[in-house]
Amino acid sequence: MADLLVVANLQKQFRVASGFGRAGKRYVKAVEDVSFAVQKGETYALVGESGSGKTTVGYLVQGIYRATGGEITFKGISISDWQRSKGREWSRQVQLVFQNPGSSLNPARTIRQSFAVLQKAQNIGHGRRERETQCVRALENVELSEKYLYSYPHSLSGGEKQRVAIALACLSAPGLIVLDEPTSALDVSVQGKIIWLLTNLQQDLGIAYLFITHDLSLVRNVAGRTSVMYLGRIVESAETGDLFQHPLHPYTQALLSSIPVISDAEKDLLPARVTPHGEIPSPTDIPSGCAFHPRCPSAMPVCGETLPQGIDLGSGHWVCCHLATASAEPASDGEGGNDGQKSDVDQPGRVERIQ
Amino acid sequence: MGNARRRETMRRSYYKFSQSGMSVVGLVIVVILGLAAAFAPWVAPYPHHAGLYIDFSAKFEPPSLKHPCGTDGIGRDVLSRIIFGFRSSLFLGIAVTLFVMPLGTVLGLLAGYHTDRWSGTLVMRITDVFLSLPPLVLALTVASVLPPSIWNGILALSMASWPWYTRMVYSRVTSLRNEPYILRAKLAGIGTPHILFKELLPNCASQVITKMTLEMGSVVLMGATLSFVGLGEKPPSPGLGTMLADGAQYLPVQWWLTVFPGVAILLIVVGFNLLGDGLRDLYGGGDT
Amino acid sequence: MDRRHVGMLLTVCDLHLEFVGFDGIAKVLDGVSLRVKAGEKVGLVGESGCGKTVTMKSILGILASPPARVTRGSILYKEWDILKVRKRGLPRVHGGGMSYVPQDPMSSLNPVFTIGTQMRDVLKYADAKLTGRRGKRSRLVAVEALARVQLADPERLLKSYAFQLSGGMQQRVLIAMGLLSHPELVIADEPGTALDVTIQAQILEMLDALVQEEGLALLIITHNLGVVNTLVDWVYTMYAGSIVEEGPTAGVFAGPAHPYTKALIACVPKLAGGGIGRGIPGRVPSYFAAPSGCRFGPRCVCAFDTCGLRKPEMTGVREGPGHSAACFLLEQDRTA
Repeated sequence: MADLLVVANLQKQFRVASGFGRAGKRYVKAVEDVSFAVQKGETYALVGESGSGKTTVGYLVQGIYRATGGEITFKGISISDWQRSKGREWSRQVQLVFQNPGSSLNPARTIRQSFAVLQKAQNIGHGRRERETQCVRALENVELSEKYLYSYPHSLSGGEKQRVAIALACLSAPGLIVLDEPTSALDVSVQGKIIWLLTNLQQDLGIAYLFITHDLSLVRNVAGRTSVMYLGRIVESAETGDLFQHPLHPYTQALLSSIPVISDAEKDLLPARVTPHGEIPSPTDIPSGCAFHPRCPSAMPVCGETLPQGIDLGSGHWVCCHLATASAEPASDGEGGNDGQKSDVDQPGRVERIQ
Repeated sequence: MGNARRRETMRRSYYKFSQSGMSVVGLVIVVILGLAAAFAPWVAPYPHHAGLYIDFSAKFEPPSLKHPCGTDGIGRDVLSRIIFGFRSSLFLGIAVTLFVMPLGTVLGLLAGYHTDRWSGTLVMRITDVFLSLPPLVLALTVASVLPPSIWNGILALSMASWPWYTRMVYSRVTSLRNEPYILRAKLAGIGTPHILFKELLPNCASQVITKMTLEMGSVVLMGATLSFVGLGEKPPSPGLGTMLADGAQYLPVQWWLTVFPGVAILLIVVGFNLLGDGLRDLYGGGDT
Repeated sequence: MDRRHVGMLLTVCDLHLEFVGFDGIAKVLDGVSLRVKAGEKVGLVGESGCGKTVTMKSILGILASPPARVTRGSILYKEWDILKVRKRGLPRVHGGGMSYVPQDPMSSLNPVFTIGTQMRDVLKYADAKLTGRRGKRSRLVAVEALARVQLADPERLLKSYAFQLSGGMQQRVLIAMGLLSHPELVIADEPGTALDVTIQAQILEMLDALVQEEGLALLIITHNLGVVNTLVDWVYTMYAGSIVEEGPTAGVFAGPAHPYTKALIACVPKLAGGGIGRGIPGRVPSYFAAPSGCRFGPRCVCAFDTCGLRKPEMTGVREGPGHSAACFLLEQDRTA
């Protein structure tokens, strides 16, 4: 299957204004050397905590931010070309669902009016009647009754608002939807409904999802492949099941072992407790070498000095850690590079395949 | 379908509004003032006293049943003049507000949305300059260089009032411009005018309305001050400030010539302020 | 059932609470009963809108009394009846051993005062002997409290402002402030929910250790089942203003008796993969027109006629000691 979205060596720096002029220019390296690929119809997850840069990646893919380095290609064409020549077509192809359902809808406009804005911009539907039917059908797709069409967002619950946001995103039949923590603000029972809807939509419309979240247990059930990010870099990347069963990077192990589980049986599925020391550093002050080294319980002297090389361990499992480098065979060292390209994985991950 | 919903929202708003007794008092005052001003010729006991009228036999009469607020130096009924004074004060307030509100709001929308561009910065710096001058001083200065008339009074007051709207709308827009629904509209290719007026403006509307109500009080007060010092409207048209100025020299003996117009001004300001506070509580705060 | 009455620190008994508003009367709490013994760790679990925050606020005595109105029931903490205590008397109750750790560290610390100033203010209520002295002793107490929550360099922290601390550190400060008054009962609202998961795990471990060390009773209010499983021994599940199930945590999670608890647990994403539960159909009922009988009835897949007629009583589950649920299915089971 061809790659739908290819991200290569993506970099994004933000300038932080501090002090006057020349001496005061500091940069926040929000995203550094991130590479991955998403295939048509698959769900790819980016996991991380605050400061990991995962949301920034989502915004870069959508085009809200412009990358300071690296390249993003969608259907073979670079994103800058898309925006330059086919701006509106681009916005139809890649959509974004935001985290906070409360602010994804304009509180001063009815649902119908929010739809109207997109319909007008994306030139979907002609004539009032057709547009009206489109809205009703869009709401049906997310199992909302048409009586919500003329309501204001404040009379909808969080879950219902998020469903409207999804309906708005699907309006233009996009190829890729970037989902930025779509269920973090919702209750568990509502989350189930949203995920089920997203799965159905994916099956019906063949949409690929870039699923950004901090919730690993959720990722286990929705994504075919997952990348773990820490302070702007991908530290480990694998097929989701593989990542859970054989986490190699200490940070991945820390993340997994921190999940509060609801039964002892679940506890057994997790790696042994890895407690990182201290707090997550601010992205303005990224530690040298491997960014995780100050907190890593297994840190070695080399970790603070040089950035580890990424190693491809086969079957799509990639990790960036000196421990892995040390225990890997010399032959597979280095050449896989910092490049997490997954285009050689021939089976796209779909929700049902996860075991 | 929409109408029933709108009626329910209004009823619900009134219920919430009426939770505070003082807000209802403010509403009642404003309504009474408005009616009195609108129907002045019918409400005032001696409507002709508002214009040219001389009756020295009735001059300086203290408050009585015949003249509840007394009469002035040329025998005119103070109460009637006050009622007509409401008319001119409210007219002033409404005229200024209607002129200043659209201007200030549009500037605020533009400056807030383009806050990262030079145009936004320019507008805000100009606004800041105007804001740094005490409004009354500014109004007085402008009014003093222009021939005294009601339109010049309106102009002077407008120059002193517009920046407050701009500043308020600017701060609201800068906090909203990165909201997901605005980003979504921008990404979809919606043009700036639509975003400003159809997406952002409805979110500022409640603050603007509250501001308008609160500002009425200050505008009226400033207008009274202008006419007190002789700028603004000319006699014999009844202005509350003018009445205060004329009556001041007769204190403390003919006290009714200053006290009642003063109370009238107080009533206008308090009424609008209470109403504005009530609206602010109803709409839930913000930077008013 | 007897063990539950011995040494009871907090007893909420059949609490019925309503809110009076424009749309009518919202009958939010419909008979909430829960108990916390000295040294026991209890969790109150429910989703948004279930009334757990209202319950918590009533226990703390900080619920705005119109529009809220208690129509039945009592809340007893040690020798006080919280519902009868006047506003002025509340600090004594809180000083007398009830302490509160709020949810969102960012908005619970005053941004314009230093941490030291805020802790000193708490100490003024907690330990009257410390006021009057020029703050030296209160500073020592504050430093010690911060060290107990594993914060490095407490002296410097006292001079810092809230925005200079990370979320995890702020949460630790809040816990330290909660422990200043030497409480017997700590009420924690969604502990760690606003934090990253690795930091949350650290905070929860620390809280657990502190509670064990000092022998404190803990009441956690949360929607996160995982947190409840990690921290507490006894759990109450709440839905639409009533307690639907209670029992020992392991027992309830392994074998939930109430359909709501069952559905909730099914919705939690499992680490073994395999998809998530489809969610619970329907919406949380409006409290203005709450369903008669069992409030979960309209959304319950096992509902039958009796469910809409009267409210089920808490019935013991056969296998678990103390494990009970408010469901007619259990009553049927009993009589069968």
